[in-house]
This record gives sequence, structure tokens and C-alpha cells, in this order.
Amino acid sequence: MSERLEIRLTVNGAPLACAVGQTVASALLANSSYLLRLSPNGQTPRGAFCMMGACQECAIQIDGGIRRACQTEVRDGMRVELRGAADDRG
Amino acid sequence: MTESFDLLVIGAGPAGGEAALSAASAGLNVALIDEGPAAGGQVWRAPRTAKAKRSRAQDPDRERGDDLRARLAASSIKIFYATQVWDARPGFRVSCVSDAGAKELNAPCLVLATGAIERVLPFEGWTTPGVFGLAAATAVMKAEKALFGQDIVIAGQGPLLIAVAAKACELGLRPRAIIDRASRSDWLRAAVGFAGVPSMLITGARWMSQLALAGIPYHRGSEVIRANGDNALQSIVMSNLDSGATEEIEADTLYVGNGLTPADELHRLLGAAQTADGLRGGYRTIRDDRCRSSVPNLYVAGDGAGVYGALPSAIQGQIAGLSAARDHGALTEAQFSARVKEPRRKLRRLEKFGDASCRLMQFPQDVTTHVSAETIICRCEDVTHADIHAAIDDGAQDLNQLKHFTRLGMGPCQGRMCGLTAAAILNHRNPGPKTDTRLTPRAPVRPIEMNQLIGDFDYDDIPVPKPAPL
Ligand SMILES: Cc1cc2nc3c(=O)[nH]c(=O)nc-3n(C[C@H](O)[C@H](O)[C@H](O)COP(=O)(O)OP(=O)(O)OC[C@H]3O[C@@H](n4cnc5c(N)ncnc54)[C@H](O)[C@@H]3O)c2cc1C
Ligand code: FES
Repeated sequence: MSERLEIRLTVNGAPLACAVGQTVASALLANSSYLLRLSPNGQTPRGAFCMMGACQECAIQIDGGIRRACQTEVRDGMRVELRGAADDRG
Repeated sequence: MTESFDLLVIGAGPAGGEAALSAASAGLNVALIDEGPAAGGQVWRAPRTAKAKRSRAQDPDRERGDDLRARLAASSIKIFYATQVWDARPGFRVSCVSDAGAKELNAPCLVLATGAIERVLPFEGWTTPGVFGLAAATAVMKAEKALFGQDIVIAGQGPLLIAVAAKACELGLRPRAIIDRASRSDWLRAAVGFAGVPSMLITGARWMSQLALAGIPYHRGSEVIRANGDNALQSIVMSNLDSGATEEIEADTLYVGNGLTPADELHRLLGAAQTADGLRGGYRTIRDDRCRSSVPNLYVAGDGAGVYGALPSAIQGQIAGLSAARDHGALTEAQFSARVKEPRRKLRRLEKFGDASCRLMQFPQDVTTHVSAETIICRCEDVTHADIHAAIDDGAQDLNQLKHFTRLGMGPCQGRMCGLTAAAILNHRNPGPKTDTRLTPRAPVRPIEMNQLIGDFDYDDIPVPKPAPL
């Protein structure tokens, strides 16, 4: 795993280094960050599931909008917040 | 912004890529749309990270994908990557959204090549972070030459199970267990169908022997019945389908999948006729030998119309593109017949293989009889197995009624993850003539935000009508 980590994003304000071409979901997973949000009704913990854009489990706050983390490529300075659309906890 | 073409192709996998190329080579002005960052679709997915691009491992899927991407780049086709289609209307008018904002594309002919999504049979705890689809593993391995997890279990059924397990070993990982719903005799029966395509049989056999050599525990005729853990997966429980004997295995990551089903929301939205697919479960879209659907000038190709696998998808794409060119008047009937002859011959041979694979991923109809009452079926809305039975007790008879009673299928995935399972429960509870167990499709087929549609704007951009003269 000699990948060069050239991109810096923040996750809930904390820095995370990742490789060019990674998706937000894979950058988080590579860092063992599996929990992405709580489900809106049951408040049960959720992480990415299909990694192909279909299930919407990875839809979290990215640069102020709700985006699918598994379909969003990392960019320098990106701000990621681990919460979903209906999730108003801080 | 609106742009017009002779032909629109949705999906740039093997089917859509080849459809666009064959139509363009016949002289049509073609636009190709895909939500991914490059062509290739699921199976010929482009590498994304430097590590994956550097990888020299021999990989026919990578080579086929690179070839497709090179031919597309050299073509006259207008390609819209990173662009999601969220609506399609007759005529055809296709609504898309990308980071750059909203777009409308128009054309008199449309090819749908949207591919397949994975079915995962629900089990207790399958929403725990750390549980992924098998398809997730292939997507990440193709794009990044990496796979997440330390203690990995790979489970499910069908050809993807063996492929994922073998590729994980190639990456130097040692899965703790492989859990296959299929028994040895299921595989032997399927092998008869694979025999028509020797290269496939050889690949499959090589993968199996790699796994045996690596000494990975392989549990046949078994399935995962529970995932334990709260914020992260800690262990899984496996059960033997015959004896019911269970075993707990520590794991931080589980990849599990039970086969593929067409991603056909757009097909249904446009009213293309479908038929129940006895072999594969679910439905497939009816097409003639020119890949024409029941809707005039709407063509369907690849796994989105019925799951047959990568190579048949590519050939169906070629035929669909030529067929559109023929109907558009760019080819004479004689030119069309000459060009489809070879693809049709290849297709007949390959489709047998697709049928054999599907036998291994057959979706059992009584899948949920053993699933506990608290198990979540609809992940988006947290609808449990018990909620579904309660709704059926209260009179829900089809999926649309179930949706109104329970909110199942109303969340952002729009029933992609739960539709087939809910249909199986309905059919199991209501024996007798099967009702139509499909959700009525509705746009948007992808969740979109208002600000994506509108894009960035200044107040100066808002047109202010001239005040009427007083
Ligand atoms: C994860 C996965 C792995 C697979 N691995 C293999 C394998 O190793 N070998 C094999 O033979 N088969 C494999 N299959 C089966 C495989 O899907 C098919 O054989 C082949 O990829 C089908 O080609 P296709 O062109 O029909 O669809 P796909 O390759 O799935 O291409 C469909 C394309 O349409 C795009 N799309 C869909 N909906 C929209 C929309 N609304 N807006 C914009 N774009 C859209 C998708 O982004 C995708 O790129 C796999 C399937 C999956 C799901
Ligand atoms: S993990 Fe399913 S949409 Fe991203």
C-alpha cells in the first residue's frame, strides 16, 4: 500500500489524507471509518453498502450538500460531515 | 440547457458503449451518458487510483475496458460522464444532473443500457456498518486494487462470489471464510451450461483451485443469518441450510450478495413491456431480435433488460446501435442485415452461459421464512419483516399497497434494495395467481436536490418580466 496521499479533506473538521482518484467512501473506509450516519427513522448506525451508487446508504454532507460518498471523488479542501439528510445532530 | 442528437444512450458499460459506437459508425449523431467518471460500467470499470492504474496484473476485463475507452475517445460521440439521468419522457427527452447543473438532452431514438444492481437477501444485522454487497468488493478492487477490512468474510451465491474471493486472494488478503449458498451439485449442474463457453469454464476452475490452494475455509450450502455489532461489525453467524447447525465467525467486514437484477427504472418509466423472468427471478424487458422494446424507437441492451453477463451485453449493445441506425434511416435493410449477422451468431452461443450463471443465483422464493421479525427489510425507511406481515394482515396485496401501508420503497433508494424481497414475501403469503409485484416507477429515479437542478445563480440572473405599460 505505497499509495501517495496527496489530497487533504476534513471529516467533521479533522484532517484526512487520501489518494487521488479515491472516492470519499473509500477514503473513509481505508481509514477504518465505517460508520457514516444514523438512519432517519430507527436511528440505527449505517455505513456504505453497495459502493455502486444504488442504495444511497452513503449519502452524507459533502461541501454543504447531500452527496453519495461512494460516487464522489475526493478533492483538496473538501469538507465532509458524517451526517445524513434528515440528521440534524451537530 | 438543451441539446439535440439522433440517438441518446444511457449507460456507458459494455452494452451502452458498444451501442453508441456502432450507431456512430453508421453515421448517427450520438450522445452517451453515464454517472460514472469513465466508460466501462461494472465489469470493465476504469482504474481510479495511481496504484490501480499501475497494476500490471493480467486482467482481461481491464484490457477490454481500456479498449472500449480508447475507441470511445477516438469517436465522434459526445460523452457526458459524471452525469446522472433522473427522468426520461417519451419523444425522447432525458433530464440529467451533474456538478455543473441540470441538462436536457433530446433525441428521437434512445438506447437504455443501465446495467444491473445486486440483490442481497436480508438477515438480522445486515444494516451494520461493515456489511457490504459483493458488488461493492468488485467495484473497489477494480477501481483501487484494494479491499477494506482485516477479518473478511465473503458470502452469498453465484459467479461473483468466487470471483471476489479469488481476486481478494490475488491482492494478498486471506478471507476468514467463504460461505456459499450453492451446494456442490448446484455448481455441477451449472457447469453443464458453462461448457458452451470453454474460456469461462477455465477461468472458473482456476479461481476455485486458487481458493483451494490458499486453504481458505469454504462452506457450501450455507448462509449468513446474523451480523453482530453496533457501530461496527464484530462477528457473523453462519448456518448450514440442511442441518441448521450454526457457527460464529469473528469479522470486521462482510461482503455478501445473492446475484444481480436489472436496473430497469427507466425502462418501466417509459412503459416498455416486461415479462416475469422465471429463471432469474424478477422481470426482464421484452425485446425483439433487433433489441427493440415494445415502445417505438426505444432500444434495450445489456443487463438492464435481463441479466446475461458482460460479453452478451456488449453484443446486444452492438445490435441495438445498428438497429437504431437502421430505424433512423442511416443504414439500408441490406446493410443492417450484413452487419448484425456475426454479432447475432456470437450472441446465441454466449446466452447459454448467462443462463447457467443465473441458475447459480436463483432467488429462492421462500427466502424470508426464517428471517426474524425484527430484521429490517427496507433499509431506507427501517421497515421490518414484522411490519410487512402486519400490512399484509391489514389487506396489502401488492407492492404499491405495501408501500402506502409501510413506506417501504419510499426512501431514497426507491425500492432498489427491498423490492424483490418484499415481492417474495407477498408471493409467499398470497399463494395462487401472482399479482404484479413491481413498484410503479416514478421520476426522479435518482434523488436530487433542488440546488443541483438550479445550479449557482445570482439574483441578477433571475429574469424579471418588463412591467406592463400602465
Ligand atoms: C458490481 C458488479 C460486478 C460485476 N462483475 C462482473 C464480472 O466480473 N464479470 C461478468 O461477466 N459480469 C460481471 N457483472 C455483471 C455485469 O454487470 C455485466 O455483465 C456487465 O457489466 C453488463 O454490462 P451493461 O453495459 O449492461 O451494464 P453496466 O456495466 O452495469 O453499465 C451500466 C452503466 O449505466 C450507468 N447508469 C445506470 N443508470 C444510470 C443513470 N440513471 N444515469 C446515468 N448513468 C446510469 C452506470 O453508471 C453504468 O456505468 C458484474 C455486475 C456488477 C453489478
Ligand atoms: S454505498 Fe450505496 S450508494 Fe453509495
